Amino acid sequence: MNIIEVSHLVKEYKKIKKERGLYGAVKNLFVQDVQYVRAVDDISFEVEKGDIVAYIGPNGAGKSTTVKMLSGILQPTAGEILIDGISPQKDRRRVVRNLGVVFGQRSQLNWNLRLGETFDLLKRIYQIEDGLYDRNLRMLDEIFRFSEFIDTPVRQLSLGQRMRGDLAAAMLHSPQILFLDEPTIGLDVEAKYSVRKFIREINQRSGTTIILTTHDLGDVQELCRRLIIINEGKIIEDGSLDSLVDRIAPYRQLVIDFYHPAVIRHPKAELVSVEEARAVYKFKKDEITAARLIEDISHTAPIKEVGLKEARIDDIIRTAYSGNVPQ
Amino acid sequence: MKKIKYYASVAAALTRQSIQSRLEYPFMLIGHVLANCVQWVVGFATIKFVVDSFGSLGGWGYESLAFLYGMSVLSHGLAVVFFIQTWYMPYCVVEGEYDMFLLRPMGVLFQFLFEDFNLIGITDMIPGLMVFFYGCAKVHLEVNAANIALILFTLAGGTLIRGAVWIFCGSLSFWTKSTANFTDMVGALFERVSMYPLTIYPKWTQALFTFLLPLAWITFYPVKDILEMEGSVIPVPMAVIGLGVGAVMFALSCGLFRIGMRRYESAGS
Repeated sequence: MNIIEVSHLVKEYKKIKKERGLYGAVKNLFVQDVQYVRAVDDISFEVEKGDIVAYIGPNGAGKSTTVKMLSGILQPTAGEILIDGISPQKDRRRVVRNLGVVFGQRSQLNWNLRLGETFDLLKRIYQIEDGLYDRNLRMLDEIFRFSEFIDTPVRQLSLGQRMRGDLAAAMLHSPQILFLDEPTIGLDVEAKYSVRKFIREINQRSGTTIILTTHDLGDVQELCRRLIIINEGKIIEDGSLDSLVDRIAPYRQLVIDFYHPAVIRHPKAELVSVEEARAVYKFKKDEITAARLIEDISHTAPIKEVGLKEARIDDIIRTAYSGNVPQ
Repeated sequence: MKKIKYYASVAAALTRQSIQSRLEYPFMLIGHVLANCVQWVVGFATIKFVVDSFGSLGGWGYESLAFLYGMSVLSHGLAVVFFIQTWYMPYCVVEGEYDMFLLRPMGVLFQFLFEDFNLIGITDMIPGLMVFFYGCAKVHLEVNAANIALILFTLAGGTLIRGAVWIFCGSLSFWTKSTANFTDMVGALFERVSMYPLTIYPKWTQALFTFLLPLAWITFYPVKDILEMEGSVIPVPMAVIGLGVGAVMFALSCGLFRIGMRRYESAGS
């Protein structure tokens, strides 16, 4: 069941080329060099209920613009969005009632007052029943442990605490859909861990659908079954991370340290290098498993140590961004 | 009805929070109150000086002028209390501060206006109230239900008109996307038209402020009515018309805001 449907979404901006200097500024009043730039250029995708989707791309690719259109902040130039069957452009309030949105670089918490005040305000705005509110608060506290700082003014909180506060605030009204825009940006390992734990748990416990925009590939690896890559406004990849890795980097490397120098070949692997007792093999994942390769080679010569090298996800994603991905 | 209760409860929470926020910085409050008192006293002293020098202003005697001035300051105070947020509209457009409101299931303008309820504006009204009561005494205003109703209508209408103009000017920032706005200029206009009798201006200016930009309905016509100066052509009290004018202008400005919101481009990543 598709809870999010995006079809042929476009967002175009008018960019006026500004000329330098005073003369340029005056000239701009009368004659303008107008360019139309498409931040989002005809994208379409669907998200099933309960999915966790990573939405990644280089800076300026159009990720935040997409999320803002999905949440009703921006009006698309063309195209349609349906969130649980309703268009955020036509009925913003109804859509937003079921949405939780967190922008990593912006906070919705009241800066001057204690964290709890924002929670109280949200309880009223979303008309959350007392019982549900208390239950949610308790559940969210289990994950985020904000009872330690719920009475501290937000301006005095650390980034990690503020982020936890914002995530909790976005979940108070039990939205079925979450848009998280860079939620782990700037966070330490502990905070990142708790954010990722939160995402996994809320997805498992409540079946919350989550779209996660992130530059942190650790987030992607740990959380997302599905990956959508956007670059220059267009979707260039949409599928599972595994399939992407298989297409870009289908090879793995096996490093074997023998007891004695040996040159051992294998029909299903390429012997890349031999240096004294260390041999490096390159093999394809779908042709042979690492375990089988090790077993076969060990019949011929005793193995002291093994090491397996995977292609680095950074390199894979960079290749994906460049668009040079074999189909 | 349920909807009104809902909006009222959120407004109450936002108001309480704004007051709490202000109380975090008490010295700012004190300074502001003092500055305001000085401002209004000086303003009134100016009028007194003019009247003492010239005998009357636009045909209005000292007592009537005092009453008019008082009403003007009161409606200014109310407008500042409810609508001063509008001065930050251009900033919000450029900095993308409306995002937060759009993500919540309530009207954006409503949330925006109540976001930072201006408690200090009430202090604006203290000197105004003093002048107002002084003016009432001077014109020997009868304290009866009719007059009280007229005064309340006048204040409500005047506040709506001022608010409407500010919202209109602020909404223009959706198009101009600049951080400058006309609100101080417009503020000066409000003062000139509502603190002094309209009759001091040439006929064409009077017509302008009666029909095109109905600022004369903030105080002048309703007060003329209350003070029972020259018979009114229309059987309806001016204060009621003023309230009507205010309501219409306010509705139009809200409409402009909504149209402008569709052009909103947010900001940042």
